Amino acid sequence: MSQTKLERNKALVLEAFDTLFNKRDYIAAERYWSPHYIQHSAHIAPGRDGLFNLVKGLPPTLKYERGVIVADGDFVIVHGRFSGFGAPVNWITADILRIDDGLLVEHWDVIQDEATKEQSRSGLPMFGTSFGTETLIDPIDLEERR
Amino acid sequence: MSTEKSTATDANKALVLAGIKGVFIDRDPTVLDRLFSADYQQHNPRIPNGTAAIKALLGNLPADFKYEPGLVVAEGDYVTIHSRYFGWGPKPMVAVDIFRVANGKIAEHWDVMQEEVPAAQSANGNSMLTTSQT
Repeated sequence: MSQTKLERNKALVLEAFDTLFNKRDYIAAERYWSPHYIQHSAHIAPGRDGLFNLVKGLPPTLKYERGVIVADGDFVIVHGRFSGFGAPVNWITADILRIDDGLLVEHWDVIQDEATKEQSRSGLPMFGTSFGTETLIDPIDLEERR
Repeated sequence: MSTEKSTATDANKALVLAGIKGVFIDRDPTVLDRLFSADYQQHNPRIPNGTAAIKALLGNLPADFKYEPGLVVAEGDYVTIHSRYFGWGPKPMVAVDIFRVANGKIAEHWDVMQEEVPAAQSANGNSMLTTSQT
């Protein structure tokens, strides 16, 4: 396998996530996500529409930060943090993408609430080099969307 | 990818799989001395730094504990494993463990864990797990 393919796959995932979660450009995002996208994340409805509709319902404060990203064969795993989505605690995620012919075709993830410095027994952050900053939250908005 | 890089990635993959299987499948505390760095850096918020904490944890695993590795994605110094842990919490947990290898030892660890949602209860009807390659 060529290094170019791995670099291309990582760039695809990062551009796709930035386009959908940070820029919220749903038209541009269709260039990255296959219309036959297979979803394994337990809380996301099937297909590309299931994901896009979920993001459309999130507040404008939504922010995605990427951490370590690793590519191997057709797979990419990226460590990340979602904040500003209306919950009191940030989400730390590991997203697994399978890529086929330059498109994201299948997705698995694991999601965990971010621990604070006080909660970390090693004193190290779960993600990145520092603990997440407190995000603005709106509990009323969260309740409304349930 | 150059052959040299590819070989290093394969060696790191083999090292990390030997380490995590040694710990969680064989439950052999000696792998911690052989394969892990003495100053093992821990980003799981519930576990202190170092290998002594993992040895202590090994002694406290419940009888029904079981570790099932799935997809392995490795590149350069990083090896990531998608997996399922039984007996870590009240329900089976899905995890991605991320390891950094330095100087031929497992040097640093991050993870993300959540309770498994069975396919029948998922928003899309699919399993959260990937198939094992190991």
